[in-house]
Parts: sequence; structure tokens; C-alpha cells
Amino acid sequence: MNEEFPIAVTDVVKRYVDFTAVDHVSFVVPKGTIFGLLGPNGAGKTTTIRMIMNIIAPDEGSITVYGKPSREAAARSIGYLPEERGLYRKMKVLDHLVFLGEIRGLNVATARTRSESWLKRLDLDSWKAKKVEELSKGMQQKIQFIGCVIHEPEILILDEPFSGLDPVNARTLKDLLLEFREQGKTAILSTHVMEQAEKLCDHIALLNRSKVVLAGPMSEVIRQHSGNKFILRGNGDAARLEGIEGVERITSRDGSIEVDLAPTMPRSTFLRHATAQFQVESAVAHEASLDEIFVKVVGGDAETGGSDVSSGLSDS
Amino acid sequence: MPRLEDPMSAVVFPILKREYLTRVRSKAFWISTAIFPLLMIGFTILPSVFMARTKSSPDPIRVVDQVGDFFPVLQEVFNKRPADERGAEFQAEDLKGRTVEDARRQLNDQTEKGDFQGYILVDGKSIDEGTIVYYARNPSSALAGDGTRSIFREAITQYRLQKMGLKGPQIESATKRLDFDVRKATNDPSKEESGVSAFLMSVIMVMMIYGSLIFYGIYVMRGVLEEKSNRIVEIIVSTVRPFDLMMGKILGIGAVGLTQISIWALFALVLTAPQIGVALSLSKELMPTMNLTMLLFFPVYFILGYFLYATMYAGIGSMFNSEEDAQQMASVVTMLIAIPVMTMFTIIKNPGSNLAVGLSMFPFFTPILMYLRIAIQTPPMWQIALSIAIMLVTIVFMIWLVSKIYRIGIFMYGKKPTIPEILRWLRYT
Repeated sequence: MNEEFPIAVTDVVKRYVDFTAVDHVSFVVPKGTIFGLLGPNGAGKTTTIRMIMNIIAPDEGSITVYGKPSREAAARSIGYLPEERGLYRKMKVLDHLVFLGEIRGLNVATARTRSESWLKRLDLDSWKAKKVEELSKGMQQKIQFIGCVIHEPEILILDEPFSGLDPVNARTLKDLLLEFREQGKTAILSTHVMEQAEKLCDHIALLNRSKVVLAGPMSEVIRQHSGNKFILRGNGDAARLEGIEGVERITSRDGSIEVDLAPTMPRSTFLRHATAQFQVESAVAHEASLDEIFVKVVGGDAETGGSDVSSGLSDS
Repeated sequence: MPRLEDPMSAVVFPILKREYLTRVRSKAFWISTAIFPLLMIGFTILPSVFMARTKSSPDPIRVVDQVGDFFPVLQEVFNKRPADERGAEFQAEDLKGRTVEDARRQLNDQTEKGDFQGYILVDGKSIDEGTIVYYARNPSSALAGDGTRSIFREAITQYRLQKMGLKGPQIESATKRLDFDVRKATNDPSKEESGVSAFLMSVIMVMMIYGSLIFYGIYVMRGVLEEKSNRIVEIIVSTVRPFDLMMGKILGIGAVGLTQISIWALFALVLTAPQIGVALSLSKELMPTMNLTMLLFFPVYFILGYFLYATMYAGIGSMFNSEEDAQQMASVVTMLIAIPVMTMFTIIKNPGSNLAVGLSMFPFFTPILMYLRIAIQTPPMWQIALSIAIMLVTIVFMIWLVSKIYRIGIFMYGKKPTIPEILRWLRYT
């Protein structure tokens, strides 16, 4: 269990004076996956992550990291990139990375070697003697990322890592994340951008108004919320498809035909019947995008505008 | 007693090291380190240089000697004086048949034009009654003062004694000048230095404690505010407890303070070494003297005071987002440091009084007042020990209290928190 699910959040509650930031939240993060902690701003993502990092303590429930309570688990086995992140501007890049390595338990020599190889890898080698303030914002974000993986953690927790990244740097970060997963390591990714989550995450938990409203493996979530649906293209009379057993609705749209099937109807059976009545050129099983699912589940209910960061830990 | 945080962990060291190195390597550190000795040189050397220069060539003073044999006596007294106590030279002015009124009219004009800085009329009446008037170009000038006045006083006394029929050696023994000095009453001859110099030195040292407590305290507050506005604090706190981050900062900046003070102390020792003092031609009175007790207790009370106040300043830094917001609360703490300085002269007058003992035991005043008492009149050992014990307890309590505020405060962005909100943080886990 512990080996399979490095992080388990069980029935966690965090209350502040006049509101509940996290309300009975539970989820497990399977090893070797990228886990998406999704939700609109103010849903409780950052508070949940801060509790996993033991920066704040939950009022109820428990959080375990490799089976140990998070307050006992070595924070050093996790690499954490907070949403509110920055660097000492007056420090030199290499000195800064060595410092971050040192407070994560590395000795100076190891911290230096690893920093230098990371700087080379991310094309920042020529900047290592420059002060942080001389770097562009994108470069500074790369430095922050190096700082969070320099101690080679087994788990990575990234809070809104793509915010403010240009497409090139976003691509670099995505590649690094995928590589991290290939090494069998585990990552939690918090984001409110569903397209990114859909491309990267294997499992998700969707938070809204401090509660988990949707959770599970990505493929399952998509399938459950996509319904049993086909998009057909071809020649023939669409109306004849309506007679086929298990068909609930036919909608013609822009030269293609959307077919809603009864949930229990196997798609292959439908296709066999359909080709008999209709000259099918292409048939695609429709999948809802995560964005659509998000809007459907959260609906007009999504709290917008409020940020769980600007209000810090206290009441907003 | 509240539950204390676990002892600091080893991770404090890299934080301390970073705080120390980034500051000691900065230009600002070396500039502020250099300014103090330069000021010290300014205060000790410049006045003597300045005085030597102004003494070198003051314009002479004309003396109209109407009694006829007073001027030689005056000249003799003048010549016997050491060069740096003489003041302006005297020149005899003959009436040459003019009336006193005519002569004065001419002398007034000449004084105006600048041949000499003024003139003095001496007649029988002024010698009998001891009333001398000095007509000066610039009556407010300091040069019209001490040297000339005391030479005149002595010359008139001698002239009167001569008229009474006393001879040279008798006059000399009758008018022998008094040397009045103040020394500390002690059985240890090494501590028996001149009162003025010791007093001056204790005030300087106390002011140094006062200045450095505020300076390094604000330095800590700025550091905390900087970490918040840089948004680096959460990156660090993911693997370091806020308590360790806070202690690392306080210790690191404290080490910077000790480094700076050691450089100054070294400089002061070099400057006050006898050979160097002679080379710089400092006069004996201007040479500050250090006594060993003062020197030993300086680091003790600086370090205690620093821990108490730096912790408070760190707490204030954690509560706010900008120096402007923090200003109000910081000035309350700064006031706490300043109050004992205001009571300083009351304490100096009577350092053993109940008031002085009481105030110097109040932990927020101890670094300045107890140190002041040690500097001017060593208090009983038990009082020193008790003051240190009270401070240690207060420091531990303050660190406990502030660390509770700090670990919440460093994540607070946005609006300025109110006092009730801050008190609520104390209950958060």
C-alpha cells in the first residue's frame, strides 16, 4: 500500500475563523504517475499542498508520505515548487543553487556538482556567475525548478508550475516532468488549466469549494463523462440510423453525425449494424475534453476571482 | 512555562552562513564599517589639529599701561606660560601725550582695520578694583577668553604682591597654580584613570550598544521583509522549519555585527596604543582610555540585547509586507531601546540608587542601563548575574512567542494584519 501510493490524504479538514479551506478531502497518489490536483482558484489546492508539505497542520484527518505521518516523513524526499516562488535577487546563480542544495541536506561539493550539471542541461551555464536579478523571468523559473529537484527527490509537488511560463519554457518543463515519471518517480501537479492537466496527468482529483468533486484515473474520468457516443462521417440517410437498436439520439452537425448510444450498448455491435445501413467513411468515438467535464461538474458553481494565495493562511 | 520549540537543527548552519557571507561580501558592509573609524578619527584628531592651527597666530592685543610698570609683569607671566596656554600676544601701546579718549578713538579705528584684535586699558583703578575691560573686534571670539583672562588675573595678582613688597620667590610660592583632577576611588591603581576621560568613554560605549541594537535589529527586520517580498520564503520552508530559518537569520546577522564591532575594537586599540597616539600628536586629555571591565561586558550586553531585540524585529518583519507598513510597530521597539538612553544622566548621577538598580533589571533596559552602571561604578556581582539571568529567560520567552507569529506571518500577503488577527495567529497550529 505504502509502496504503491506514496502519498495518501485521508479525510482532511482545515478551518479558518470564518471559512473552511479544505473540507473532508481524501485521495491517494499512485507511484510512478503524474497526479493532477485540479480546480478553480480558491478551491483549496494550495492549502492541501501546504498540508502535505507540513507547512501547516490539518485540523482533522491524516496525511501520510510513504506510510508515515507527513510531519515525520522527511520533507527532503519531496521536491516542492510553491505557487508563490522567488529567489534572492542579489545572490549569484551558482551560489544560490548550492544554498538550496545545502538546506535540502546536500553537502557543498555535491550541491555544486549537481547545480553545474543542471545549469549545463538547461543552457544556463554561462549565467552561473551572474546575479539572479540579471536573469530573465523564464531563466529564474528554471533556476527555481533546479532548486526543487537538486536533492533528487522521489516525489515532486508543483503548484501552478506553468503560470507565467512562455511556450518554450513550458515545453521544457513538460519534458522534464515526463522524464521524471519515466524514472518511476511520482509527481503532484496543481493547475487550473485543464488542457495542460489532460495532456500530462494520469490521475486527477478535482476540487471545488474545498471539496473533492471528481477523482480517479484520467482515462476513466474521461470515459465516464464522455457518454457512449460516436461521430460518423459518410454518405447515406442519417435518419435510417435511428432505427438501430440502442441508439438514443442522432444529431446532424456540419456534415457529420453525432450518435448517442445507450450506456450498455457495445460500440462494435452498433458499428456492425450501422455499416449495413450507411456508407461509413470514418467513425470516431467521441471523448469529452477535461475542460468540458470541468465546466459540467463545476458549472456556474466555480468560484472565480478569489485566490487562495493572496489571503495566505488566514481568513480572506 | 510555554512549550519550547525543538532545539535548532543542523540546517540552521547553511542559512546562517548565507546570511553572513552575502552581507560581509557586500559593499554596504565595508562602507558602514569604514565610516565609524573615520568619524572616530574626526572626533579625536581634528579638534587638536584645529586647535593647534587657531593657536598658531592669533592677532596680538594692545595694552595701554597707564600705571607704567605693569606691562613687564604681564610680559613675564606670558612668557612663563606653556605655548598652548598663552593665547594672543601682548603689545605695549604708548599714549605719547594723547588723552585716553584720543587714544581710544584711534585704537578703535585700528582694531576695526585688523592690525590687532583688540586693546585693554590698565590704570591704577583697574588694578586696585580688579576690573579690566577688553575692547575686542569680535567680542564673541573664543580667543578673547581663557588664556588672556588667566594671564591677566595672574599678572595683576603678582603686581599687587610686588607693590606689597614681596620678592620674586615669595610671589611664586604664593601664586603657585592649583592642579585639580578627579579620579575614581578604587584600590586597583590600573582603574584610577582620570574622571573626565572615563566618563566620556562610558558614554561612547553605551551609545555604541544603543546604536548597534537598533542598526542590526532593523537589519534583521529588513531581511525578513525581503524574503517575503522575494517570495523565496516558501521555497525554503519546504525543507526548513520556519523556526530554523528565523534563528539562522538572527544568528547570521548577529555574526555580521560581531565582525564589524571586532574590526572597530581592533581599530580603537591600534589608535589608542601609546606610540600611535604620540605619533598622531594627540594630547593626553583627548586620548580615550579603555578599562578592562567595560571591554569585557560590552560583548555580553550587546549579544543579550541583540537577541532580545533582533527577535522582536524579526517578528515585526514577518507580520508585514513592506517597510512602510512595519514602520509603526518597529518604532515602538526602537522606543524601548531609546528610553534607557533618555534616563542615562539620572543614572549617572546616582548609579547605585534603587531607581537605577530597578531600571537596570528591567530586561528591555538592561543592555544599556546595566552596562552603563558597570562602566561608571561596578555594581555588586549578584546584580550583574541577576540581570543576565532575567535577560536569558526573557530572550527564550521572546523567541518562543515570536516563532509562533513568524511561522504564520511569513505566508501572509495582502493587507496589513490587525492586532487581533496577529493574536489569533498564536493559536494556529
